[in-house]
Amino acid sequence: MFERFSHEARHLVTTAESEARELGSPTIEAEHLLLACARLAPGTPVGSVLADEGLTHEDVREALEAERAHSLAAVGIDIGDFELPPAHTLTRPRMAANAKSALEHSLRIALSRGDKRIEPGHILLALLRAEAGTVPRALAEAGVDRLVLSDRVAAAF
Amino acid sequence: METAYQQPRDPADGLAAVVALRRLADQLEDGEVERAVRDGWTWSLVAEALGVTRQAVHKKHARRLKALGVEARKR
Repeated sequence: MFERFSHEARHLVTTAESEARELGSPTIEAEHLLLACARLAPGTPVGSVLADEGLTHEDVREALEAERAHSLAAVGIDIGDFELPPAHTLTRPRMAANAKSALEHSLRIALSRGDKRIEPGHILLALLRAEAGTVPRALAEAGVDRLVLSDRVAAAF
Repeated sequence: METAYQQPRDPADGLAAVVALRRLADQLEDGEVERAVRDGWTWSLVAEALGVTRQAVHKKHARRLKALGVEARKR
């Protein structure tokens, strides 16, 4: 699956795995790919767009936490009531369906643009395409218009 | 009788709650399994309590707990 991935895109997937581990998640989710995108240096195309948008790694983390708290509140649960154990995973997180689908979609986006390699930008574009799920909900929490952001990312590389 | 639980108005919120609840359940499971094993529960008993096989609970938690220095009691 990763043959067409550039060095940077492969590194992004590895970073997403670290993000998942750090959060104690048994799976690499689309949100971990988004967190990995937010770690890209401001000198890179995606990094500079996210920096211009004012979307830091910390902002994405906070937006994901807010999304979680609000989603639980919708069914009457206050996450603040829980004392959760610190995250601790040793087993290698496996790729969740939403992350896999984003990576597959990044290939389709690259092909449709006539790009030979999959870059981090293609992965972010694929993540921004999702209409439902944690990623679009967290972006809405952060006050990000994902379609506007998507246009900026597409124009940046 | 009026039910206490009100479905969120938007299914997107209801579905997102399901995702968040699954994650919360996983986190609670990690903490409770650790506590039970520290308290001397065997893997078989933990599995029975969770309604899963001993193999499943062992596969999911044994390595993590070992790294924390917690070993299940042999029976």
